[in-house]
Order: sequence, then C-alpha cells, then structure tokens
Amino acid sequence: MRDVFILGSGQTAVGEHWDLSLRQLARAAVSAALNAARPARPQALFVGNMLAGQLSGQQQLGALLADYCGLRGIEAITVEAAGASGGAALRQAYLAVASGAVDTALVLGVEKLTDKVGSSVAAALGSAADADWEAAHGATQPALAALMMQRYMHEQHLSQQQFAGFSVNAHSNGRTNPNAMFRNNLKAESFGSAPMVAEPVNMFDTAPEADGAAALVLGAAHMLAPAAARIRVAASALCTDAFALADRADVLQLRAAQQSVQQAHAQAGCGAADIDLFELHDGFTILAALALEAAGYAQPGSGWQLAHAGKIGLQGEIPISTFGGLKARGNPGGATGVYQAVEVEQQLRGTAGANQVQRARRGMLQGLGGSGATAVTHIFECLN
Amino acid sequence: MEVSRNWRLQSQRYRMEGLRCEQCGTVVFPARAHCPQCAGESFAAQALRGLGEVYSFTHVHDAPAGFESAAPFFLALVRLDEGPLVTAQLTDVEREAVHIGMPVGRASCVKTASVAC
Repeated sequence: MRDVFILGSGQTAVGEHWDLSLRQLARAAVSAALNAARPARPQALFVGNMLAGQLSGQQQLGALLADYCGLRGIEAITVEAAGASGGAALRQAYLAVASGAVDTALVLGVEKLTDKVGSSVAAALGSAADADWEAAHGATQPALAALMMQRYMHEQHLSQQQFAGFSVNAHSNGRTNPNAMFRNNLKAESFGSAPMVAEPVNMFDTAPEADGAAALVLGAAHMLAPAAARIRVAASALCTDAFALADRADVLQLRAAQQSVQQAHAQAGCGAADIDLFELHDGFTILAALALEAAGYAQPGSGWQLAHAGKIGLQGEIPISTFGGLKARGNPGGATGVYQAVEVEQQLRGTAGANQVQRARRGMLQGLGGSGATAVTHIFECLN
Repeated sequence: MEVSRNWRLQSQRYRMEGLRCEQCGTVVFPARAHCPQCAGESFAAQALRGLGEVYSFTHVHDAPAGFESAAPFFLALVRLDEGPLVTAQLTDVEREAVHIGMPVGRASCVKTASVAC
C-alpha cells in the first residue's frame, strides 16, 4: 500500500437548497474540488449517498454524477452505509489510490433531503435501522438515540441538561463557519426548552437534516504539486457491530467505533493524545459522549463530563465539531463524512480561519451508520 | 409492511419463537443463523414467555410514516426473562408510570388503517 494525499477539496453550504437539485449540488462541490486539485484529474469517482433512491427516486449516482460533472467515462459507483456513507466512500477512494489501481480518485458526498418533508423523511432515515425488528415498531434514528440516552442517564444519574455542552460547543463553532446551516449561538439554559423529538432527545439535542455536497480529490505522492502542503491519509478503518441496538453486547458501547479507532491509531502509529482535533458523529449528544468514550478520551460512563469548552472547544484538550459538527453545520446524511474530511483538511492546512485549532498536525474523523452498526474512522496528518 | 414479509415473520413476531444455542446455551431472539456469543450454528427451539422489564424507553413525538396516528407512543428496549433484549412498543400504560425496571408482558395487537395499537 502506498501513501495517499489530499490534492484538493470543495463544499457547498449546508442547508435547505430548494433551488438546487442533487446533481447541481454535486457539481458545485466537484467543481471546487477539481479546481483546487488542478491539474490532477480523477480516474475514479466514489459517491457517498444514503437516500437518493428513496427521496429522489434516483439510483446509479456514480454514472449520473460522473456524467453531469464532466467526467463521463471514468469508473464511478455509490457507496452506502447510512450516516457513515461519506466516510465509507472516502475509504474506497483511499483504497483505490493506496492499492495502485488508480493515481487519483474523487470522493463526493451528496444528499438531497428537503424534496420530501416530515414523516416520510423520518421513515427514510429510519431505514438505517433494522426494518424487520426496529423500524417495524416505529423506531426512528432519534428514538434509538433516545433509548441509549435514557439508559445512560439512568446508569450515571444524569439529567438531559448535562448534555447541553455538546450542542452549545457545536453552535459556537458553527457561528463562524460560512457553510454551516446554523450560525447562531445556543445558550445552555435554552437547551432543555426545545420541543421533544423522542424523549429525552429534543430539537436542540439532534442535528438538522439538510442538503449539501462536499468533495475531496485524493492522489498518490507523485500527483502532488511541488509546493503543495502534504496532507496524508494516515489511517483508514471501517468496522461493524451487531446491527440492531437490542443485539449489542452493551447498548452503551460503540464497539465498531472503538475498534475502528484502535485500528486507525495502529495504522497512524499514534495514540489518542496525539490527535489534535476529532470530527465525530454528533447527530445526537449521546453519540458524542459515547464516541469520545470509544476513542479513549473518557472512561465508559464519563464521556458526558467532557461537554464543556475547556475540554472540547477549539482551545480545549480534544476539540470536536470544530466547524459546528452535525449539530450546527448540519447533517446532510451521506455527505456528512466528506464534510468532516474537508474540515479536517482545512484545519491541517491552517486555512480554518476563526475555527482554526492551533498547531493542528493530526486530525481524526469518524462517521457512524444508524445507531452505530457501522463506524468508519480516518486520520489525516500534515507532513510539512 | 408487505404481506409476504409479515407472513414470513409471523411465528417469531406473534408467538415469540426464539432459539437456544446448542453449543453455549445462549437464548436468541429474533432467530438468526449464527450464535452471537459462540458463532455456533446449531439451535433448538426456545419458546419465550413474553415477560420482562423495561431496560430503556422513549416517548416518540416525531413519528415516521405509517405511525403518525399512533404518536406520541412509547418505544422500549425490554429485557426478557429468558435473556434477550427486544425492541417493542409499550401500550396500555400510564405516561407517568413508565420507568426503567417496569415489569411488562407481551400483548399482540393488530393495526388497521383506523385503529393503532
């Protein structure tokens, strides 16, 4: 396996893009990424998408988007792993370049969620759960997160309010991200006042579903321009767990996340303390707490204690959601993992502006599928 | 859910037919091909009484398509007396009475277009 580097990236703002179709969103992100990676041209396209078949009646996005983005003829496929789709697509692109099969690969995460509304979107997102044994009983993604959170609160004797810091931090960072869906501060005292989605998960606890597209060009070392920053993909790992939440050995342990982080640390030759920022899957505050535990930043049952600025803020011990995370940047499903990758790349290039984590050398990103049955973790490092 | 799909699952769903691993004794529900504990592939039938207690629960306000008329409804993880954890709705309960550790029993119900259980 040879080294893989990031040649360039692009993203659209995350939000409700009533005026843009799936293919137009995709093309905007791809154009920006190809422009940044010039003169490299991708030999393969890996599309991370979760719900186009259900919400847009559109499959075969690989060929569709290669054609629409001016890349007709190249190898192109879709990679689906629910909320982990973007990270899973990134891994396929990484493997394609690392193996020597291609010298350059384009990763595109794209999701168009707002053409449908309300219960049909909830049901579509719920298809990440077990259709026979979870969704058949009315389980949605917020409901499964709520089952985890309620149990966690019970075991640790916590109130919902004690998770507020995760959302407050995400909004604080989203405020200065021009691509974030929510650019307003959230007060901790307001956290508990939002309408309930699935108790104890409320609107301020959950990430907004949104449209968006992000793209990244990967290449072998010889594709890097001589003066370009050398941002290397230092680790790529994807693991799975029992599919249904009820079948997990421990519903409060993200075992796939834990295993993928351990593999990623081994590949990158580093430990938890060597990571300068962590873009985790904060679709719900409970997932942020459990992901921090799985990644070794807290003991089981104590991840919630990190939910304040001194620990997870831009100057904290382990900065998370540095551009707003899923909660404030927004959660465009299968595109989310590619947004995380673009954000970590910006941090390592030192182009994160007001969101910059100082002296960022290594960044980790992690996507979760559903309630955690899939976890995909990458580590990028700056070699300059 | 499609008729054929529901039909395939009816003995498990309505009679709660589980399995017991012949290698390590783990009780499995719903049925599966490999024991999650020891990877064994040999099972005996194991009837489940349908009694257990609430392991965790949520009150779902934003219902998915097909469940709108039932909202808000309780969804729970129930620890069955025989061991397995199952996902199920809680019906016929007082809202304030639902708590972790609450004893529950199985009730099969039929959902029609106009009546949600």
